[in-house]
Amino acid sequence: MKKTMGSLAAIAGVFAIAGSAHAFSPENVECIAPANPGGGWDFTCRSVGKILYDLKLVPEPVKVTNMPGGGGGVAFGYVVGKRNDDANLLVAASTATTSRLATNQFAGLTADQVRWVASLGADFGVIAVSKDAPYKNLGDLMAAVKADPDKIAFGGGSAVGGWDHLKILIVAKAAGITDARSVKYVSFNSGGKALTQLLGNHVQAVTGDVSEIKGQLAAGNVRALAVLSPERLSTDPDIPTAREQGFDAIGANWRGFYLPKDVSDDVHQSWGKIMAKLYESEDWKKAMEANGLAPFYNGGAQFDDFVRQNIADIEQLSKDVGLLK
Amino acid sequence: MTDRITGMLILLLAIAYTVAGSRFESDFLTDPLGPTAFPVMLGTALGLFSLYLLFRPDPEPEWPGVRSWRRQGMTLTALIIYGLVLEFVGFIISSMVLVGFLSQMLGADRRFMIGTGIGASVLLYFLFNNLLGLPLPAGEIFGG
Amino acid sequence: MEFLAGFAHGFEVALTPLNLGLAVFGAFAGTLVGALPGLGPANGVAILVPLAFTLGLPPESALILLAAVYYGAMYGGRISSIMLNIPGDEPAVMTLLEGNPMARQGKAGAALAISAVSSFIGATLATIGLSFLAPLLVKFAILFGPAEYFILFVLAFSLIGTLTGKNVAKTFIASVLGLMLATIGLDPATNVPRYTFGQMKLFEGLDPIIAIVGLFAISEVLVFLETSRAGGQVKFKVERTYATFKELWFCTGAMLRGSVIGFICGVLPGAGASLGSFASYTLEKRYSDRGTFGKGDERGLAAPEAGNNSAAGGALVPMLALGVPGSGTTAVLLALLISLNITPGPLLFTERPEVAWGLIASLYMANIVLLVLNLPLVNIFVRLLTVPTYILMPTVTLICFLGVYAISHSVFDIFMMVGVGVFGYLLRKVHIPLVPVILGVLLGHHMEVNLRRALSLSSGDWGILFGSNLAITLWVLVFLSLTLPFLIRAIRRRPGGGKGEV
Repeated sequence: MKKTMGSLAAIAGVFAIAGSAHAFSPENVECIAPANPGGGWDFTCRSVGKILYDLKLVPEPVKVTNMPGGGGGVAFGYVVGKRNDDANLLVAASTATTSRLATNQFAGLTADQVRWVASLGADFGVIAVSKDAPYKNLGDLMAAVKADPDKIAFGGGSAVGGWDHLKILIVAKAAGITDARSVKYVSFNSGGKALTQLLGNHVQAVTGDVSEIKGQLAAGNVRALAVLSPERLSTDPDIPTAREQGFDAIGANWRGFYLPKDVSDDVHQSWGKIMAKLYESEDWKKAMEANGLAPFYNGGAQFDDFVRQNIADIEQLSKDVGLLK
Repeated sequence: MTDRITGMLILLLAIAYTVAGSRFESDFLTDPLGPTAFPVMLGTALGLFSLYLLFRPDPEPEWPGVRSWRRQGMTLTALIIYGLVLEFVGFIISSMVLVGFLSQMLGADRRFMIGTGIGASVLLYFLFNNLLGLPLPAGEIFGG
Repeated sequence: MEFLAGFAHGFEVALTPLNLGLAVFGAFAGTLVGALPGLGPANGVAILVPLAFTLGLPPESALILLAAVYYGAMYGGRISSIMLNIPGDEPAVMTLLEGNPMARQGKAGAALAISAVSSFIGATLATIGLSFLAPLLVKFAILFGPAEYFILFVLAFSLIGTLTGKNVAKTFIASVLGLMLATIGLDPATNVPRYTFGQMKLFEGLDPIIAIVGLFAISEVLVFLETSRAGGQVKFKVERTYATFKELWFCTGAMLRGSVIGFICGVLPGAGASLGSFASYTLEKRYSDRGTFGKGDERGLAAPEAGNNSAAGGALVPMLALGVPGSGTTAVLLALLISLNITPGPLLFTERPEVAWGLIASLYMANIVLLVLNLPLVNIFVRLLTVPTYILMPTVTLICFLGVYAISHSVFDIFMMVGVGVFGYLLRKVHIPLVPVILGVLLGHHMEVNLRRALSLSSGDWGILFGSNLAITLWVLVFLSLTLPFLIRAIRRRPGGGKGEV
């Protein structure tokens, strides 16, 4: 946590110096959520949009436009093709976006066709089982998977090859399982549905995000065997990390935004500054906490590198486990 | 006769659908049924049902005459043109023309045609764009 | 009975002048939005959410506003179904089967009134059910695994036979066509594109709204154009704008039956309001039809109306108790709650009961408001029917396009709508019914997906379909649903048995 604060201060400092003479201020901001109302991107646009307006970082309320299709691909294509220089357009993004870019599910579009702005939080992956399950820790579960892969079904919200699936594959890889076919993943439409199936004992485990299982965890109906973060979360310190149980697996679903490519550097930096300010605000902290998001700020040039690395990692992982040729 | 033709067309559709459906393959992970099972099943069912139409056709429905084909054809063309130019000339102009055209098709006289056209498009533009916050194209030629 | 206290508190909050005003405004705005074909409750709520934020409303008030919009939009969808023969949203498809014939007979006002009352009854029963039975219902809901869901949808399909017009084969063809349309898109389990012709827009499949608006609205325009121009005016006579007590009483049984069925469907996440309205209608038809259904039988209107409002109420159970949205609109409500920093889940009732009960009370109040507003609203909308067709129809067509474009910003959708419309017109000409097509589109995806998930879980063992008591019970229901009509007919024909209907 201290390290994050330190780097955050440094970033803010850099922005302050570099952008102090910024001429750009946003107006009539539009945020595109590449999905139907009710999903994670929609939430990102709406909650961030609300706070931007409440904090007067933007003059008018942020207009949220839903543009579903192609798992985010339609919106991506739209921005690249038609709004390429709009400085007042933010598009919600997350690891779901990068994982699709990594596996080329956006029909040839690539990550450098847009400008990545910042990530404002991360939802760390978590592996959970029902409260009566015989597995006491991640090791037990993985051993069971190795012994009889067919018996353990992991439920998740994303499609096969999607982020929820990748998370369990990351863990499996750390456990020494290198063939994706040895892990039984069944996709449900949403994390919530997968969780419900866990409660009904139709699946044996669930790979999801911390925010998704919060409610059930607090009620004691499920047990989180591991969280895929580098250190235990301050919001849920009782969940052991995968790392401390001997499995080097990190799975973070960051949430942030990208901008159209042809905006000026000044615009890009200004937005970065705005996001940094939002990140430090009490409003955002409260929103994060209420939703199980962990602090995870990344912005500016650093974020660009992060995204590229993210994509490369996922591509590599997909190839390793045979998901991608 | 119509039913027999319909039956034939549906049978062809069923065959095309089934053949295309059986060709789906997933290189990688798949569930026991795979992407082909359902399509093949559906296509086969459709094919069987279409045979029923072929062998036991219903009495002829009423097909309207050539004049109505023309009207319908023109309307469809208008709708397609609408789609093509919508973003280019903007919502208000395209809608005005479309509504006016349809109005006339349905028997309105001059003033209603123009009136409805202008009225509907302007009203709806403001309702959606300004009131509901759902942006509508202002037209590229106007710099929108 | 602490929930009574919670409820009372909820109502207390709901009845302040500000909140009442918001409720009325929301109901009205929602109805307007819902009445526009192509825009449904989900869009209505999503559109007005920013408004709630800009006004800086406290959470309870925001919830009340949006609850009113939600139900208002549902009511609006009925208006479009009854008067224009265009379903306003997916659950409204059933409404037009009896509602539109009633309108053509001059009973539009009565139809709208019955719709309002049935919806209210449905919501009432759902609220009662929700309050008393929520924990039990949750236990029931989680019993449904993929296998059970599959059988449930098979059950739904077995009921489609009830919708048969004269030609059974054509009804089946229609359903299969709908199922085929549902397979368009990326295969959910393997991500293989099916029938997408390389179009990314089709990756997520054919949007049900486009299918509905295209099939019904555009084909209606084409049908209309068949007759000669000036002579083709449809004069809707409007006899009265209310329903008589006798008519309402006649429908009571239908309303109650529809409510129960709808509620059960709503409680199951993923089944939703469409299934609720469909099941209510078909079962009511099975139960009550003596040849009057399809021509404007009030009961066939009351049942699905009660059913889908009840389902909407039932969908709150998984949403509030499990945090799992049961339908598209509850997904939006869920997003709203989250952005207000309220996380639904099993602890919501214990930790923040004022929110849970507040929401339930707001939703119920929205229903009350709509019932009260019904009379003036009906008056306004029914006047619309007296507008000459050459003004009404082009405007409605434009609105259909708008409704679709405004949400997705894609001209491709407009073309698809036209294409589907032509297809729908041809189907109508050869007397292939449209409603089973839509049902195939709505239900087909769920059926396939759940079967495949079930087999994935069982690693190919088909036995999973018979693996639980619930599964077997459902199969029995399927069997009954298929054979009962024949049995009943046989019993009726027996000399001395039945009511003399031969």
